[in-house]
Amino acid sequence: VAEAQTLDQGVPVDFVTIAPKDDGLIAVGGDGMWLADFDPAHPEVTWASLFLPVWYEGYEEPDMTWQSSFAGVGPEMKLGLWPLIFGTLKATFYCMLIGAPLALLAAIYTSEFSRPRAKATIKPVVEMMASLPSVVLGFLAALVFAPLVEKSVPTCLAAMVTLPAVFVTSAFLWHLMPPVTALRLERFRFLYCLALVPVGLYFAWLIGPTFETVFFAGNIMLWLDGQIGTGTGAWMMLLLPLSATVVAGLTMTFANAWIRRISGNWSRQKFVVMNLLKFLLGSVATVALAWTLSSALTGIGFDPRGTYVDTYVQRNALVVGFAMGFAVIPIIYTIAEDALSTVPAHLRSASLGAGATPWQTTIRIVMPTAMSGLFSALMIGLGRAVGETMIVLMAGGNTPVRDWNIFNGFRTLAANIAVELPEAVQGSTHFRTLFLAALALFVMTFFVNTIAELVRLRFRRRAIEL
Amino acid sequence: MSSDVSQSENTPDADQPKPSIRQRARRSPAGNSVLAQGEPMVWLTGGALALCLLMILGLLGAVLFLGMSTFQPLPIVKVQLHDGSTVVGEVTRQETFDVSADSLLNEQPVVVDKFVENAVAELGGEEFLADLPSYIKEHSTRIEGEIAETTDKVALLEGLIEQGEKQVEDRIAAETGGKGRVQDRLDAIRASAAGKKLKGFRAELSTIRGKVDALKGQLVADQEAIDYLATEPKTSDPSSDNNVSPKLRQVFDAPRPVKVAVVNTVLDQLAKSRGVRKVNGQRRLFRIGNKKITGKTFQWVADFEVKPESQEEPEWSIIAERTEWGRFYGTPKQFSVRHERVVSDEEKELAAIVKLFDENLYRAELDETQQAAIQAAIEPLRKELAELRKKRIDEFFAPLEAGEGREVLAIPLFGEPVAANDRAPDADYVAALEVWKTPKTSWKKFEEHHDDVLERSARRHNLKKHDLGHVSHTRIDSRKLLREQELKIDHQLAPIDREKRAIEDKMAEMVENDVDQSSEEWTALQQRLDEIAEEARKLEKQAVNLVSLCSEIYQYRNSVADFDKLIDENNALAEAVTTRLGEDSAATAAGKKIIASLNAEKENERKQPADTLAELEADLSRAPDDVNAAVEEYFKVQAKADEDDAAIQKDINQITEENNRFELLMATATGDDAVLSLDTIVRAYPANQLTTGDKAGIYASRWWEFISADPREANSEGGVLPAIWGTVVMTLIMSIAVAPFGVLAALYLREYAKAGIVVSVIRISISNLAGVPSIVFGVFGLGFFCYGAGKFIDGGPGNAGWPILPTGQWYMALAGLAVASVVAFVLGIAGATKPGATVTPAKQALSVASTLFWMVAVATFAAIVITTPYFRGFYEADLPTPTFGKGGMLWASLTLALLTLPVVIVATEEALAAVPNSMREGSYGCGASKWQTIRNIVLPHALPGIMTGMILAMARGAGEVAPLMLVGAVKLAPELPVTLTNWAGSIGPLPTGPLHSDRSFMHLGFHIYDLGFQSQDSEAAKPMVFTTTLLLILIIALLNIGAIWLRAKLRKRFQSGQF
Repeated sequence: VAEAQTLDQGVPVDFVTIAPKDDGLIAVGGDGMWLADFDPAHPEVTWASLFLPVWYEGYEEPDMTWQSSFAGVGPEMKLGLWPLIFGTLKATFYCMLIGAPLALLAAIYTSEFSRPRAKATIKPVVEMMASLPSVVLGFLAALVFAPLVEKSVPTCLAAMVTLPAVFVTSAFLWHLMPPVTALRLERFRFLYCLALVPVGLYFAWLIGPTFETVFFAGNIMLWLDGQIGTGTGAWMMLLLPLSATVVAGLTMTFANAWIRRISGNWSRQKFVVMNLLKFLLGSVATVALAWTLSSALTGIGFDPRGTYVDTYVQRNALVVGFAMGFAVIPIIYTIAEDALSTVPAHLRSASLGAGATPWQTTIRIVMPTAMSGLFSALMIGLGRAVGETMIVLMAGGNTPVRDWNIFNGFRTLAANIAVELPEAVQGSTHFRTLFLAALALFVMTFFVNTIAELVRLRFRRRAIEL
Repeated sequence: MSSDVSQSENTPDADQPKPSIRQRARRSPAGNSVLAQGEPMVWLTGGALALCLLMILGLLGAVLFLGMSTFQPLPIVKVQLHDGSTVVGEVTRQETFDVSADSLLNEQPVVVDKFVENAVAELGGEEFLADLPSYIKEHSTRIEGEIAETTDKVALLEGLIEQGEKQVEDRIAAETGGKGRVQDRLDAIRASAAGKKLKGFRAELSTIRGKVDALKGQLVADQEAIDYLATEPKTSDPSSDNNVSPKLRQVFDAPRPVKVAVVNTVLDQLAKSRGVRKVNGQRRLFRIGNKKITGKTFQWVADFEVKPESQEEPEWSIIAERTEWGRFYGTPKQFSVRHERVVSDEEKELAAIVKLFDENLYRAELDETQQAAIQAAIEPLRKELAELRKKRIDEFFAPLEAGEGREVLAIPLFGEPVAANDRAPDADYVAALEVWKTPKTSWKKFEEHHDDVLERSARRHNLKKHDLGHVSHTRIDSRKLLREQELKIDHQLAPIDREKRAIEDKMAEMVENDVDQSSEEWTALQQRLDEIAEEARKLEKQAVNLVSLCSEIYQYRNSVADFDKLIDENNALAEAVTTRLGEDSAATAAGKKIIASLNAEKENERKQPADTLAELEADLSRAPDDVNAAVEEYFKVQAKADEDDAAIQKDINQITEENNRFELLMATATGDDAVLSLDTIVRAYPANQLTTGDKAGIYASRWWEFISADPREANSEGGVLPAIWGTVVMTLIMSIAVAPFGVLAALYLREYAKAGIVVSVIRISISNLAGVPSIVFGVFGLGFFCYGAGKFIDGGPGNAGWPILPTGQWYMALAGLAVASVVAFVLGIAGATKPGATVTPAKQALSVASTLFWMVAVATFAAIVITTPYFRGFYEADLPTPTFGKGGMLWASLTLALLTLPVVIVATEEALAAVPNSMREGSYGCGASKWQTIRNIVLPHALPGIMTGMILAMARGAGEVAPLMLVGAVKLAPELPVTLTNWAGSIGPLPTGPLHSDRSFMHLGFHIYDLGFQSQDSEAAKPMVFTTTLLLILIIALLNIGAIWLRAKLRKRFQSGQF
């Protein structure tokens, strides 16, 4: 408050008040009135209020909230950036969870196992996906995909199990064929894979209702809401990949070594059948392990509902994860495929010449060499996911809440800027906070991209040296 | 190393001499190789790729299907519902839904009854009804089970709550030690983890209790139902129809709680017998239109609501797509054409005279006998008028005799229309109405006239949009001229004001420092202040609020002129009276007296505006003389604009009148009749009579409208022409902006720059730029382009909120700039090294210093430009309305140019790298310089690659939406960013006029977002979203395919390596 001293000229002040627009101080004393300009700039925002809990009016406890009401009336503005940053991280997490494995695996297949002619057509198609406008993806996700998923949540969950299961099972069945036939037919392998996708989806559709009955007490919406059933089903869903990994790892380290030892003089036929049996046993073991762990966790009173899974909202992280996966897959795929393809041919030839199978070459020679390239592909994909706007804006529900529930919406920094900046008053606190949000977004992507670029440059130098 | 080579070697057996398959198979040892092949993992990777591809194809297929199918004309279906209503409309969608007891019980009782009846029939009819009580018992048992299930949980929760409460209390007690209330609250918060948990438990408990209450309610209802069903059903009820058995009738007549129990039980049993978890039903979404009548455009109809066998496709159901209120569904009832009777001048004059005497005779101040005499005098005129009128009316109706299927009505001035033949002989009929009454004839007539009406509507639309728009632009321009004159004085005042403030500050400082107020300096300042004040007063005297003053003067002039016109008209009437009634008759004298009295009244009314006008004109004369030209121009332009406006408005009114002659009366399903004016109907067709050809025609015409028309109905109908133009123009400006920067940057990086830290940093920056989220570009565009550069262009640095340097300092900065440039130049020459000579450290230092000075010079230049006190913007007269200081075409294009810059740089660099070095070396060998080599060898060869990059950039730019939301895309832009009107005033498909780069624009991508997520009736907007998406994808796919094709061509031309 400037000029406050000049009042001290012997006149007693009767009362002081703040001007109606909060831009002045009025003092009335003696027979005069005195006015001082008063510009607190942006009192409602400090670093602490942006990033730490604030005890807002009418709240029971300090909280981090984003709630920007535009006019000066009504409840105060709540400008905590953390829910938005959280939303951004959540979107990125679920998007990468779905997009990254798909893109990397697809890149490996394209680069290492597909035929050059097929690769020449497949790659441009996936690259074309990169230029699909995200507004189209977002709109399809929100208006076509989201209602569809809402009606068939169990089927979608089942598909996440059946699709990989179908591919792996086919691989084991493939071995049942005589090697000559198998080698002859190998060139059509990708076509079989294409045909298997609908098969997997069909299975998912078939077992979806059973899935719902067994794991989710017959009604997944009520179950998610916490009204019926126990948490075992959700633990199963969460633990299944983990236990599959554990079982596969154990099989590789112990069972395979043992089988190799005892199968010295087995015929191929016998070995293959035993192998299939091993896989089936392993599957059963996986399910059993997951079930045991889930029951144990439920037994000691942990319920995943309320954390990673909870009440279903139509526009949610799962839908956004798929749609945004769509957006990042081509980017990760292209860069990863480039990285794998640029691994010098003589390394491959040497490995194959030494008797390694293509798979062994891929996993032991090509991938370690291209690792930094793959890493930078993931990082660049991550950068895109962090800043993606239209998809989350349209399919993400746009509620600035903080929970990891995959079936709930969220609001990201980018979507928030897109929604609120056009309406913010130029120069207001809100306007400036949104610019700060943009800066935060920029800084996040800047770090991710710079790291990716540095790693990529290093990889390029190394690849050239090889 | 070429990627092609590596590709061919990916598959190990591509280039090697192949052993036969049999040999290879034998070579592999039995067991181990199976494991080593890693087949499951390979299949997983293949599966991932297959999934990705199928997702892409599925997505494209979905877009294609949804986009192509939405414009297809559907048949109109009519169904009757059990509740007595009729639904007519297009079936847009069909789905299976879960029938829940709650939603079912919300329906009309009839529907519930019918549902129960059907269910009972399915479950075994009378037998089921007989066992109904036992089934209800079963239901009760299930509910009891459910209640029992909750008791454990309730007990558990209660225990937990008790425990939690105790914990919290203990904690508060422990921590506060019984101190004051504030402390209590703080500690309660400290224990918030426990508190929160407690809250959660309580909430859960209350939900469970609520649920249990609901279940208990069901139990009670069940018991009631069992009791009710135990009573003997009434044997006969005369009012009911006979098909219903008495037992069922009893159920129908049951009170509501019983029905609830029955419905619950029936649903349970249905699910059981069908073997499903929940009972499914089918329902259809009818597009029923007629929003003005029914208040909704869509209605869900479940199959069990429909009366069996009531579905039909009525022959004469018409779909009318209208310009407002959406689609209309109905049957044509009557078509009418109105013929206006033209009143001749003679008739008009006579009527005016008669009216004058009828209404205003009191003004002549006559006694009764005199009045009677005058009445007698004008009696012949009355008679003449009546005869003339009758003759004209007979003449008018003569050709309009009623024919086959056609009626003719006469419309009187007052009262109801009558059949033309029954018209009264002495009444005044203003129009005739031709009417056709069967669906077929009225539809035929409709088709006959519709095209003409539409053609006229299009003409009127052009008149309204373009001609009127043009006139209003001339008005605005002339107003701007005035505003500029106004600003002139402001500009003269501004430096005076600045000086005054400086002197005042200085004086205040002197007071602070206790300088003697009688000193020479003080006096000089005081004197200067007085001088300035005098000067300012002189200027302020001249400062007139020109714009508002002139517009007021103009208005008052007009209203004075209006009074003059009225008086003139009265005088003309007086002359007519004189000729009709004779020069010196008493009636003429009376008439003249009446008119004189009327005129005196008008004169009186005219006085007030005339006085105000004089005052205002006196005000205007205060303004300096040099504004006169602008003021004159303003009045001239306004007068001309008024004249033009009137002429255009007359044309418009004429068209409207002509169009309003045609009306179609339709009957709707709800039993209401609605009159449709033909010019509100865009397209109408009898949906159930269409041949395949008609359907194709409608489909094509809808697509054509979609890409060639403006949107209507809040964008949910009509076309997207403005959005197409917005997208195209924006993309073009963007590529024009991005091309030079991208190509030059790539040329520098690839051909000139030496590898080093600077280049690495630049490269990392470029790839970082590619990774920056597009919304951040939008924020940058808004902050820098719109609110910075744009406001600067509009109104100079002051408007942009930038500091303005005082004149003296500014000139000093200018001098500094000159010095810095000269120094930099001299240092640069001194520091230059001849080619081939060794670089000495001194020279290097000089060249570094030169670079630094250049940087300083550039920075100073920028500072000088943005702080100049001499620039007040190009659009100052328009302020505070921003011209460039808001989102617009130019800023959107520049923002996207920044966004796509890395795409162009990377593509151009790749193209440059693809030019084989041998060609460069050949060129050098022939003695060409570096620039000659680049110009004549490298660039031509790299051109296809550069074009590829440009096309890819355009594809990226065309699909980007997020930044546009901030820098200029709007949901509805009334004016296109380019002028499509040619000199004759009609719209063509090609631009004819200037580009308006400051205007907001529509964009296909933004249109999708806005329609799908911001529109009020999202169901009605869906077709438009689908088609817009298809269009956008098609544009982008075309651009991409072009790029891929170019790239393939380029690859073939230069097979040499690149990394």
